[in-house]
Amino acid sequence: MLTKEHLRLHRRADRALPVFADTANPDLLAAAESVLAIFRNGATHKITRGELSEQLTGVTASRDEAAAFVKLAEGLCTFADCAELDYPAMRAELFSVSGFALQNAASPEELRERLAENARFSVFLRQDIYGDLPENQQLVSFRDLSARELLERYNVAQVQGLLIYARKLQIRTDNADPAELRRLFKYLKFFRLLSEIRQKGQTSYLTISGPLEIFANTRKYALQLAAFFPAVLLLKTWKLNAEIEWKSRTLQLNLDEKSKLRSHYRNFSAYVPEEIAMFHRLFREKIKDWTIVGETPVLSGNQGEAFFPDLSFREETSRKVVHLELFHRWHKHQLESRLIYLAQHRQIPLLLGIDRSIADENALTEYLTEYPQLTDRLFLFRDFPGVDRVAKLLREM
Amino acid sequence: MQHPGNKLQEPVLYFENGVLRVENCHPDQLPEAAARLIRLDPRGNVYRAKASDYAPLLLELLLSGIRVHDQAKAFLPINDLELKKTLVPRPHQKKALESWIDGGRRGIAALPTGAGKTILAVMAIASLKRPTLVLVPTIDLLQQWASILEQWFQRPIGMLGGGSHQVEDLTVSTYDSAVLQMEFIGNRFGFLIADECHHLPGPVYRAAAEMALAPFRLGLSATPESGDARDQLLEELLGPLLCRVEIDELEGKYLSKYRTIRLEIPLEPDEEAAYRENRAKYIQFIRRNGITFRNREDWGRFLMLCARRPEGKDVLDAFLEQRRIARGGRAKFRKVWELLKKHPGERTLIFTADNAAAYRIGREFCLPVITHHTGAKERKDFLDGFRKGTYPVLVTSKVLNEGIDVPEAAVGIVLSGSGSVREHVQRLGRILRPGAGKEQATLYELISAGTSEEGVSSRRREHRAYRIKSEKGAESC
Repeated sequence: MLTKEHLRLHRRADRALPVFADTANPDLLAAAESVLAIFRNGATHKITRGELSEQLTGVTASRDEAAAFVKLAEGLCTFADCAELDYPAMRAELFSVSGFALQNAASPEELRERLAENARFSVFLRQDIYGDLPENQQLVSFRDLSARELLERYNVAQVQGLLIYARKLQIRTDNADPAELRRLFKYLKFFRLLSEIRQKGQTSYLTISGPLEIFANTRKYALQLAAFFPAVLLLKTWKLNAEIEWKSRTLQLNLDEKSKLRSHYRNFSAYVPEEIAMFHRLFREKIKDWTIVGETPVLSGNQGEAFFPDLSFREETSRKVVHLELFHRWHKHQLESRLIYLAQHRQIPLLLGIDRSIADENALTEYLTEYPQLTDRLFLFRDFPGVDRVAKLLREM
Repeated sequence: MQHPGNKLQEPVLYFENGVLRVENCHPDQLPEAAARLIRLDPRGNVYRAKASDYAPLLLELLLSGIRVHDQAKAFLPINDLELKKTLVPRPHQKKALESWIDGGRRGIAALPTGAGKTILAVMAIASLKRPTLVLVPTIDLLQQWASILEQWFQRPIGMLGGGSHQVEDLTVSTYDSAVLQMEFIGNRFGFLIADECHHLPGPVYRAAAEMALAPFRLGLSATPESGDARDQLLEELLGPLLCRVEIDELEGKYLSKYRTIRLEIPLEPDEEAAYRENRAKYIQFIRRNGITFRNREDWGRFLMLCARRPEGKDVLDAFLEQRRIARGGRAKFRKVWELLKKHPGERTLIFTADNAAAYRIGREFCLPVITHHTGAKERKDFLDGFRKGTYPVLVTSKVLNEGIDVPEAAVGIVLSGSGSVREHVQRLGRILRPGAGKEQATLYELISAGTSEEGVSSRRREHRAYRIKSEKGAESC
């Protein structure tokens, strides 16, 4: 993520116009390539952060954008501590004598000489007693990308940097296919954002924000909004509007698919939490009469609201498909809305799993008293449902 | 929408994702004071209120004779919450507690470091007997508070932050963890305490207080005011300033006697020449561009211009170099060495403005350094060693400015710092706690003579604790 000093934008009336890099500009491509070459070379030779920073000094002075390229490239690095020495243990030993030795030494030089007379400390003192600071960490790997890809990331990061100052996003998408919307909703859920979704014909309107947004000018959700933004770029058609609080002014940020921004989010599976992956694996191993279907559909709820199940299952013999939607602690309101809807549309083959952090046995009993037609549809779980429990409910449907 | 179990058409309050959802309740049918607290949320077409408005909303509804079905609150009084040791409060602690109770158990106490803010909080928790969440800015303070609450109440203390995720009736959380967790736990506590509460009005941290139902609130800080719009926000989040005790009111009784000595130290000739050359380049640039640093945005503008103007890189380098020389000339380091020799056996804290200077002292004088790079285990080892006397000197940049309890510290040396009054008062506070055998605490402030540090020093000394103790030391002190 880029910080304010790396952002470039023009203000025209109340509009914020990010200054994007031309991804075909040879000079910019060359500057990006120079940055990447230093990182690549650094990873090959396992240089330290300090050395890397020195090598980058000349490049960052050459162009405005270069400092931002460096910042983005740093996010693709893995650094490791130098493992040769147990620095904290050595320091503890040294300091247990140095504080008192200091009083008998005439100068700092004499202090170090005296301490170095102890064979345990002689080498340690000659090197650097704080040799494990981040500047001495080694660059051990770099997730390489092309100069063009770095420019594309730079452009997306210009928008993400602005969204840090936004409170909500409004997105319109036309003719999005179910797979596109499903992917978008998965990202929404992953970043724990709330959305108001309305569908009019083939057009979906989403207002995305955090729960506190209607009251407080908080930046609590800003990072989540910014991180969510690349998921919007995966839609074929999109229009985004955001209000940006920028230097005591409110600016409108309007972008669409013609902005030519490209997402670096390629594969949602990279973000699938471990418990979901484990559920898939155990289900495959233990349950033979049902399988998990790769694609889950987008379902329409009350008043044009759209929702999507977390998982869909198919019975091998009858080919019957049943969906499962899970409600964690931040989805309590959606649960109540879904209960009403499902009670009215029992024909939809949908199971609702409820995290115990929103409802205990008593609350479940209350729900079932209110909606007796959903007896075979509701169940409680803690963190993530068990495979056997889900299989049993599927068989009873 | 009806909730199961809610057959009556009385307003129902739910706590949901850090805000209140209000059902069966249209603002038009409510008294004006209550209606003002409720808004229609178009995301789901429901009425909502801020979690922090739980108490005033409930009160307004009840005062208007409207019965409320409260599904939001998930805490009850803890009747067996008692102090397990006898606590005899000091007069200023007793006065502060009384002010807080008289103020409706909602407000801020400004007490100097070492005055026993934690004990005031312990007394407030014991008097209120409600599940309590304490917010603290650092992991060191998280552990310190948990340990003190455990001693006084002898029950499990929850911790959020620093790798801990345990919630109990009495829980301590870092501000960062509270912001992340409050949407899930904000209805579990009746009492919210914010230690070093001047952090709370920040654009992110404020959410921790806004997403909490807690009707009862207590803010603690030696320096709660910021002198800007954040003061109003702090009052909205925690309540008004209810009592203030100054350092000099407690000096010699509950705080150590102290003196502050400002030492002006000339730069060496080559450093002075370099300082003047670099400073001139930087001053010329800001004058040419009309930057006065009188408003908050000027710093960002300076950086932006440095990034865009052809000469910007040189100017930025010049700015950094003149600042580095002023903050850490060679003579200052020699003075630190002299002062350490002058106070043999006294526990000494050395403060710097930046990590580089802290590590330079650490390397040259072979001393332990605590910065944000220091791992949790080593930090604990350094602090324990300092308290026991194994490590008589500790060097730090900013991380020990606040809160952490080191009563043994008798000498402070400020090698460099910002112009912030708050930072300087907090640093003084580190050496003021009374300790065994500690007769008088001394804070040295080292200033590079003839540099911008003179103005910085004057700005940060604009506090009663310094004004009444102004003592200028001879260079050879």
